[in-house]
Amino acid sequence: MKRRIFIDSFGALLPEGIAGPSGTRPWDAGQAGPHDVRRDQVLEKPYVNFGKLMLPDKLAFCAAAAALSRYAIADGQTAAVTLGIPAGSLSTDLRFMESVRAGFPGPAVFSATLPSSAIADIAIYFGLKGPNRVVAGNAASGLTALELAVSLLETGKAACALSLSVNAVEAADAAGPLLGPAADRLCRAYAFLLTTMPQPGGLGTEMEASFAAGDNGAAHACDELYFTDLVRLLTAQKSGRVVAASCDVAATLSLLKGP
Amino acid sequence: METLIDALKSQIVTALKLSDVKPQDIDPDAPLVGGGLGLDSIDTLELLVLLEKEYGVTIPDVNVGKQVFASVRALADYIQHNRSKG
Amino acid sequence: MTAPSHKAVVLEEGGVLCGLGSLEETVTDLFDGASAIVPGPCFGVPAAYAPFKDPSWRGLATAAETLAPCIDTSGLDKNTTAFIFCAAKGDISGLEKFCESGTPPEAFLPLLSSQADYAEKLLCVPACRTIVISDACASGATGVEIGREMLVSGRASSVVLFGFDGISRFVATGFHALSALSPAGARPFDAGRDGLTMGDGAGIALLTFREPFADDIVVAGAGSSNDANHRTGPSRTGDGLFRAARAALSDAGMQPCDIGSVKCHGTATNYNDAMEAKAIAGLFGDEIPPCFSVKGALGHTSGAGSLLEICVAAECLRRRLVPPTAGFSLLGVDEPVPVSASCQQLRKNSMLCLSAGFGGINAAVVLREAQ
Repeated sequence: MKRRIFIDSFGALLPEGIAGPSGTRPWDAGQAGPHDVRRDQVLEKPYVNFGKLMLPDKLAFCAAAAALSRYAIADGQTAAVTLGIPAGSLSTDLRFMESVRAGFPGPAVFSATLPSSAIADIAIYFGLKGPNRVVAGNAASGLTALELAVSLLETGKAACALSLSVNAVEAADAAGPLLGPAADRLCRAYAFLLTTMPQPGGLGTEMEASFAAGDNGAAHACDELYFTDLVRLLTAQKSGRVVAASCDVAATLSLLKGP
Repeated sequence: METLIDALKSQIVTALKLSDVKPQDIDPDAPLVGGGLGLDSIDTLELLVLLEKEYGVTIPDVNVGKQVFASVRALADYIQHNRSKG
Repeated sequence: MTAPSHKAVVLEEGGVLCGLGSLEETVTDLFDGASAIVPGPCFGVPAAYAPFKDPSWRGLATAAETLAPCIDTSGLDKNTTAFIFCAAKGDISGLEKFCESGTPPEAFLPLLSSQADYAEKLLCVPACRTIVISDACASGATGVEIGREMLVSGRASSVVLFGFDGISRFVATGFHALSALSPAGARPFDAGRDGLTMGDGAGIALLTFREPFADDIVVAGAGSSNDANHRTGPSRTGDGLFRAARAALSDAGMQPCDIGSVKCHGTATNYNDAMEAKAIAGLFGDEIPPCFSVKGALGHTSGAGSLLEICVAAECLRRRLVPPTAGFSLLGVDEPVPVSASCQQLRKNSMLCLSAGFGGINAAVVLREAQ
């Protein structure tokens, strides 16, 4: 008997503002976009490590906070976190190299020079102690992270999963030549809370997801195309279908507003 | 000494990126490590970098470290006795 | 509930490159108590390290080309083969060169996706899916877990895993800034342990899903968890690693008493080994099987390491031997963990492989000889 999977909450840091179940809040004057996000916009109370977060980790954390600020995870031990992060920790790697050049290699920066470092503070703050999957591949990494989250729920390895997709390249970064011509330079982050046990007060949007090996000849899609659609459907709380294809993975996500 | 303590408070907030802490709110006699600031072991390492960078001071071992990080005042005291710059 | 399948996830072939050489060389030398750790400095940092036996392997291309013959890709179905690249940082020589000279890298970008594509081509893997997993030092084990899931669910008919992590100035400088390195060399679980030792590592493995033969090595189960405790350090109670191990055993349909030996993470840092001992004691109670760590011989080979260590563990399982733990002499943890000091017979034909990484990530894999 296949387990039914629901999206019970979501959060996103987008060029236009912070999205969540209660709508999208535009950025304040003076905030250019997701990289300018402030702690008080996603968390009511201070979090000691917030200021220490490097850009990719901060975006991931804030998207998670937007999704979980009004959503209580029933059992942290069965709560997984998956993350898709195409640029990996490149942004942070360059900051570490700067600290080395300055003669004082930074311990905190170095500890964040891993694609998986974005998970650390999310797990700590929200008490998410289940399995992790970090995909640092091509531009469909977020989609793969979502697929892996679905797999964790279907196999019973987790009861709920926070699936994140982060694109973090600082506009002023010298990273240009390191990213490749097709690189997406916009800062964005998404978080989707998937569960097999929807809660009262949660979105309760049932999701039927199918993933398959992609068509090697398919146009190279990126997370942006379908996550925008997904957020739009979830914000409007409408049923619908989101289809994504890249050369690695094809996905069809059917959303049924309910129960 | 008080000037040094004030300077240290600001430098600690900046170096450790304690975004929700105002320097003036740090109690100079409260424990620095293991106290209300919620510093972890990586923060302790960052404090060592700060000491070397701003004051040319190093801490020879863990035991000295425990005394030095007992409070901002203890830190200031250590710096005054050992500084080679700043 | 459908009838249980007689099929299993079979570890068909594997290969490694590390300080002691190839898989065959490494295992033979491990049984002899050898170590590839040499004195520092390493990129200017005063710490011992374990470089590749052949220095040319530190380039991703050479490592991939050298490991390619370890698996037979000729019979793999292009439409149902997945390629999983596992690395914490991979080969960042291009990043370092760019920062020094401003010259963009040539063969591949520092991004793991670019390295994965490059390796896939060099390995001649006919894959329809390429997945890049970077779960810190648990990358390889997580890759194996994902590969197992894909095979059991039918999303792939074969999975090729490749891992690569090379020592670099970047990593050496960083670990030194964290005061994580042992000056003289890693001593896992030893009373005098004082930090980890960096090691070069690469590994390759082919997994399929079929009815196994009697002497096949099977990936019987896998599980993972997060400590949710500290940015880099593990939970002091060992709770996360304990839960990952229990999940792996449950996935395998096995009990702790079925395990012949534990391939530990055993980094030789004060906290890891103390935590790991608690997790192991909690799991096995009074009947702890022989435990070993290879990091006193091969160093800590990072994300690729958890793949290469699984390959090494599989080979030890095949030979029914538990290797000694190089660098260990006097137990330095609170729990009575029987850390192997010499080569010994493996009494049960299964191994529990543990790994943990920065960010509280834990991953466990159970290997078993098919009956």
